[in-house]
Amino acid sequence: MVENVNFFSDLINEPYLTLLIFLPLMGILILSFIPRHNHTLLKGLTLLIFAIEALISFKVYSLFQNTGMLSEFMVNIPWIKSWHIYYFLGIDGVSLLLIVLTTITMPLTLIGTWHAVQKNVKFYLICLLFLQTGIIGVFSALDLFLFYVFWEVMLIPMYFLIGVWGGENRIYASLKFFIYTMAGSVIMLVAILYLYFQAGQSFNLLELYNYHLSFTAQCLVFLALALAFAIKVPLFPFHTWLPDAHVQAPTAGSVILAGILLKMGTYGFFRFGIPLFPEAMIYFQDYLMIIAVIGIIYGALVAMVQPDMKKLIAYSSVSHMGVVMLGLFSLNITGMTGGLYQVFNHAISTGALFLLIGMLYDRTHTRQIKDYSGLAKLMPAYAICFIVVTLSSIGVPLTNGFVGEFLTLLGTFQVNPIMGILGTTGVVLGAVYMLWLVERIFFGPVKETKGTHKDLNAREIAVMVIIMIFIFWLGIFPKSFLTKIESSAEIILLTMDDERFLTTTEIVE
Amino acid sequence: MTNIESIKAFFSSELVLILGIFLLLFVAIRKRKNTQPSPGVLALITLLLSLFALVFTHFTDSVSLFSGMIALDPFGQFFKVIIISVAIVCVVMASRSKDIVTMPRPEFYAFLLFLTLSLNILCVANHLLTIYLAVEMSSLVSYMLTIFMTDDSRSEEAGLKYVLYGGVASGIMIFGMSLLYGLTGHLGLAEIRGVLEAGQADPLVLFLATIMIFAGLGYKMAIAPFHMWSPDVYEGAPMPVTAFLSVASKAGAFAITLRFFLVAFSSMAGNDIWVALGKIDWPFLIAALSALTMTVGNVIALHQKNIKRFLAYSSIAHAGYLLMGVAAVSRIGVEAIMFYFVIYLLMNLGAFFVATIIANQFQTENMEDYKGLVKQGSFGTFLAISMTIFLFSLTGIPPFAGFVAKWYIFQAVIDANLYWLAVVGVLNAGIALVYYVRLIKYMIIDEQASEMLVKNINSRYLSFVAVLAFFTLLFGLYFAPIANWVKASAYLLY
Repeated sequence: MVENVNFFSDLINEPYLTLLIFLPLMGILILSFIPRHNHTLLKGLTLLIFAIEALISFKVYSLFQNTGMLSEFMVNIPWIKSWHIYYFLGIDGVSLLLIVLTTITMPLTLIGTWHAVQKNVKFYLICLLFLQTGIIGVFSALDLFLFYVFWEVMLIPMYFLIGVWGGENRIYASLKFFIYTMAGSVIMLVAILYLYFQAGQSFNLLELYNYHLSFTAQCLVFLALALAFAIKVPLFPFHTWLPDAHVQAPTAGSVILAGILLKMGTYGFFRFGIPLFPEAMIYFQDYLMIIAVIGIIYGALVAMVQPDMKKLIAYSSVSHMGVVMLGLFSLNITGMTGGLYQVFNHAISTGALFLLIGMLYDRTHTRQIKDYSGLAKLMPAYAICFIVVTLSSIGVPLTNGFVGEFLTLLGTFQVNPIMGILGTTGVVLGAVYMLWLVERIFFGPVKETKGTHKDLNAREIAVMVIIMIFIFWLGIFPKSFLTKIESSAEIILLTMDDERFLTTTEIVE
Repeated sequence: MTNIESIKAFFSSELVLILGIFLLLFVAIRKRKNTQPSPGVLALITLLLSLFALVFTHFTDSVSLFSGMIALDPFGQFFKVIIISVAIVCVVMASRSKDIVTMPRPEFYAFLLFLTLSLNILCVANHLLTIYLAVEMSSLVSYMLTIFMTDDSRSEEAGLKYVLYGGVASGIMIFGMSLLYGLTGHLGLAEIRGVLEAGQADPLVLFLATIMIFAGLGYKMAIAPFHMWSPDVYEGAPMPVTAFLSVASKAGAFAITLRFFLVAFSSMAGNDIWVALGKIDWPFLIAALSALTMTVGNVIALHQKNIKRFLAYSSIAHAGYLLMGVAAVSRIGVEAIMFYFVIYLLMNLGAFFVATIIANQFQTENMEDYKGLVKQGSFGTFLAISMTIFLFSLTGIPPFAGFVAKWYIFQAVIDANLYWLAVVGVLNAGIALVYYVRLIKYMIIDEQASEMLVKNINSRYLSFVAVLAFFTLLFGLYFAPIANWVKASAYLLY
């Protein structure tokens, strides 16, 4: 009996993360009892659950102490004792921000694509809720088994999201997505089990941090994990699933993919790759930075020639994620903070671009750039929103993109100036293709295409206004977010236990 | 222990089965009256009683029965429970399957019970004589069950292939056994180990004998390169028999393979580890065959159109995963195999159940006809969702139980430092994803093949599918009871 009390005292003391993870599952249970034709009720309930989730995450944000340690909101309950598996949760600043990002993105996506999905609405909503459970689980799990379960669980709803509601070529794209990510994660499984036996039969991440592997073992296990994360990010040679998945996915799928799922790769490098294998990380640093830079430039160049808007944004994602990884791999506090900040910027700007393209597609049913011209005269509000988001995406000062890119490149220059220069080139190329896109679509002679050209309605404007508030908020007052990221990054670098990376460059405000 | 004592104390579960078989045969030869109980119900009662007797067999120490012929140990009891459970599910499956019901013949159930009995003996055989006897017994009944669909030419072809293949395999096996007897002078597994530990046997002949015996066991387990019979037999046999062969026969064969190699061919090094005896590296041999088996199974499964052949190749691939546990030669490997069988029972029988329902209603075994199943009425939705759960579980994706089973097997492999095998295994899991997901795509994503709705499903079937799906999900999330049961049962009479 006494043991049982201990069992749940953790849960009662720190209920928020568990609530965040399991509330969507409760939602699925409720949803399954509602008749499938009552779309409004189904969507309303889902939105309500997302709203409650967002409120809980704000509560977590307000209670957050910012110690930088992974110990906040810690829950540690034995799950399967004989296998040394624990239900072990805990967050630091980066996980916190990613969780808040998730809980904000999901309701906005749902509102933004309110009428976009017409068939199988119930199943669609169940997939969204299931995704949320998996995502928040990944960002808060500190037990490797638990982490792996959440990591894999997300493949199922995402497969159905692309496969059921996607475009023409959805079957191919969804299977490609599934196989790529699965291939990466099964290799990760071997790596996790190897770590488990090396560290004396423990999946506990905090214990693994203190365990020192031999250099060769570090390199091998790092490569195995890095493959899984690199596919998810996606880093350059493993990115080919992304354009297909993005183009074929429904708008909500693209937004979630770009906004949240890609972040899990970055998060994996940050949480596992760097602190668990410091020596391997230093050994591979140059190669990883080269790969990241290739991704930046290659993504930008390919984006430039795309005739399809969605595909253009998809390749721009490859390029932007390259910037993120460049910052992370610089292994100094400035670069890492910038890279992680860029994670949120990319989520906001690219997510917003996918939403906007989805809104346009719902009206005209074409995404070809050549079908549009002078749209600014027909849809002025839409044009304003699109241009603001574009500016954020290319990192114009005062918008969020600027802060992240600046810090990232600053950090990179400290380590490797050549990489810094090449990375900057990529950023400039980014401005070229985005502005060119804007010019072709919005300016020039007005071109009437099929479908309607009604401007944004109140619902859509509301979503875009919220996004724009975030764009400027993160661009003008980055401090409160940066300190949270910075303290977490500092701890991660400390666990690397290598003084030479702890340069005390002050964060530019 | 002497024979009388053995029967009195510990053989009750088998005695119940034997009684049930005679009762069923008696029913079969009598003229059918309405007052008679249906043979299916009789078989079910027998199996439940037998399971009951098995679970309530109390014993404190592992002992050998019938003067060393049979081992009574937690390991054997565990596999008996698995086999009887499979038999129960298959009897229910047979009660409404068109493959069986169209030709009402009560001896079907007698044969099924007889097969259960012989596999139960196989799990506990501790002597080359009992091993051979049990293998032959189970093979002979399997042939008869395979040709039960007498109006189907596929069934005849399958039966003939099975007999030829089985005959050759058991011939090779008994040759190997005779060589082993010649080398060691003993038939009991523990005594053979004693001779091998002394190091007197000639390694070359011993190696030959091992391979020959393994050919026989490999044929029972349906592992490559001894798997050729299984797709044809699985396709030709009635669906419930296929389901039974793919889980129970496999369980019996793996139990005896583990027992044979761990008891006769290895000696304990520490509490949880064995080392191979007789200067032959049989763990490597098994590891290589494991890699071959799963690759062959998975790659050929990619091209299957018939649901039974599809499940046959998938079960060959799973035999490959299970062999990884044998190759680990450790306690955790044994536990992993046992754990895998509990989960495999649920998910594989579940998949066969759904396939039986579809075959009954639409008279089709073609996977293309599963297209759009989820849209064919509420029963169609139920079937499609259950099948999706079973298939994702077979793929090994969380939160379904198959994932945990696979995790445990890989844990055993990595614990044994067989990293290359682990990598082959996970890559195979990636290949397996393709064909399992293709069927899921047919059911959930694709447009309907026909406008037909799935009609009312028999409530017995409905509840069994629901229960199997429920446990497949539950054990993916909370598997401590099974983990503990397996941990307590992974002890062989040594």
